[in-house]
Amino acid sequence: MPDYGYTYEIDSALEHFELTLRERWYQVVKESVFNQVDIPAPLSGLPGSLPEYRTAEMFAHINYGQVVGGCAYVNWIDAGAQGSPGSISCEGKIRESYHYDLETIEYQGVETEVPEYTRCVLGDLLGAVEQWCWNDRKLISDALPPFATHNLTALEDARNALVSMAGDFGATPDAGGAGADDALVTGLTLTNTVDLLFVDRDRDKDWMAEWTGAAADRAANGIFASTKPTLFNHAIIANGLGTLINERATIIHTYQQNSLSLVRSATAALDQTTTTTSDHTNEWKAVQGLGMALSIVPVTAPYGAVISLVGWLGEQFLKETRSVSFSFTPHEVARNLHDAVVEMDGALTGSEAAYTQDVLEFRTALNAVSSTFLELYDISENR
Amino acid sequence: MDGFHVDIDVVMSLAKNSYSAAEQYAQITTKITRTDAATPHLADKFGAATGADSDVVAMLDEFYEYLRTTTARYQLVGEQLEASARDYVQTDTEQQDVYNRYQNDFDAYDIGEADLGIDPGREAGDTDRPDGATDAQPDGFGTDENPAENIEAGDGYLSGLDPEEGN
Repeated sequence: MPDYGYTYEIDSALEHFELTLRERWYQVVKESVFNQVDIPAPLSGLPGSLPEYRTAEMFAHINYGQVVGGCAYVNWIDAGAQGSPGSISCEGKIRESYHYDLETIEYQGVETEVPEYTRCVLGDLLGAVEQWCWNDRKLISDALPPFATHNLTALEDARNALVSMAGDFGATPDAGGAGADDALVTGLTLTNTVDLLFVDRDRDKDWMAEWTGAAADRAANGIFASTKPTLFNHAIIANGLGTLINERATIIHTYQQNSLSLVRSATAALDQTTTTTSDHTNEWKAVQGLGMALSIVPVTAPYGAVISLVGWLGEQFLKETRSVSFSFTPHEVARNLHDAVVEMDGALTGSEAAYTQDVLEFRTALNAVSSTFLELYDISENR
Repeated sequence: MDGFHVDIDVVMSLAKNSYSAAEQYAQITTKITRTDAATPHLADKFGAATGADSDVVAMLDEFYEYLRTTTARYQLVGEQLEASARDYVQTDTEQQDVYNRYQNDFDAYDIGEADLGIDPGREAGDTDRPDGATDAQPDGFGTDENPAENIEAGDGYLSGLDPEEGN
């Protein structure tokens, strides 16, 4: 069963990002009209046609209209921009008829006549902001690795079952791995049982003094010589497969967390009220393969079931940290976020390749083990 | 020495431990079913299994087969040793009591009778391995030096506690 928890979390984070981005853009657009300057290009680009706001009339409406109640949109933004600008209407008032001193204003160095009312285009601009913030969110959302259907609990159960099997088969963790794990504790005595059967070809076993002859030799050198290597390989294979499942789970979990953390940090950067950007950085992790750093593979003649146990979603996979710094302006933050997401998706491709390489190495090692050490000496052919 | 010596106590304890190994293997093997639910989640960002994911699942299946074969072979070793001991004490009546003592234990505790979830006779054959897996066997286990090659009676690898003497 998929776990929709992550999909819900990332959608909520994106929703919060979009709302915060929009609030910041309303301010930027308002300032652009006040100052009659260009609106910077958002991540998804400016619409092909924006209403002309660089006019003497809009300039007069925004800058002088306060004496007649001000621009309804500016008032709405300054009051916190609750709801949608579509619910607001502005009559575009510049002055009362008796405000003779405002019949002409100085606009870009020229004395220009202005009417009592103009068509206020700020509402159209804010509508365009809503649209491009949605487009920005869509661009970022589409660039995020979805990981929408994965259930980490199912993977954890599988990994724990395999670690528990490794414990039953007598695995002991090495010093380099995660160390002791409760999952390795076994209630079985299989290793003791196998010890009672196993005959090392180089050394006689006590029972060989009491049962001698051709049949005893055949048993000692055939089936019983294969018992312990087989047992140890089972421990190593169980742990190795558990480790590979752990690696896949770590990829899923890490890139989900990276995605959430990047979107949330970008949102926090948008929430800032000063241009001090030094503390608006975000760190994220690139999952790496185990490669040769940990030996998880069965060997052709094992005489020890020492395994490298990797903790669930273990640090061994997470050695590389990367970071992104967020700028101040909303168009820059959205671009920073998008760039970081694209870079992260590239790192994910690298993690997939590393996982594939680990699986391949394990497969190659497994294929190199003789069947005698995977499922005991074949007594059935001799029946 | 007349070439061989058979202590039925040793043979029967080996049989008992082989049965025990089979039973424990069967018990451990059931744990691998807990990996079944993970299969759809071994997948890339789009939820599709990559070649690597599919190979992990294939190796889980393969591992399961190795474990079943191992279980079956331990069980057959126990059965063959027990049968051979039974035959042996027909002629070596001094050790009949030892054999009977084990038999009573086996009967009382269902030793060798555990439900292994498999038919040992069917599962004892070699597991099919993928292309590229080695056919070679370790030194001393290969066909040329197969200790069982010398067996003349074809009814069991361990039948006849010493075939040199016949039985």
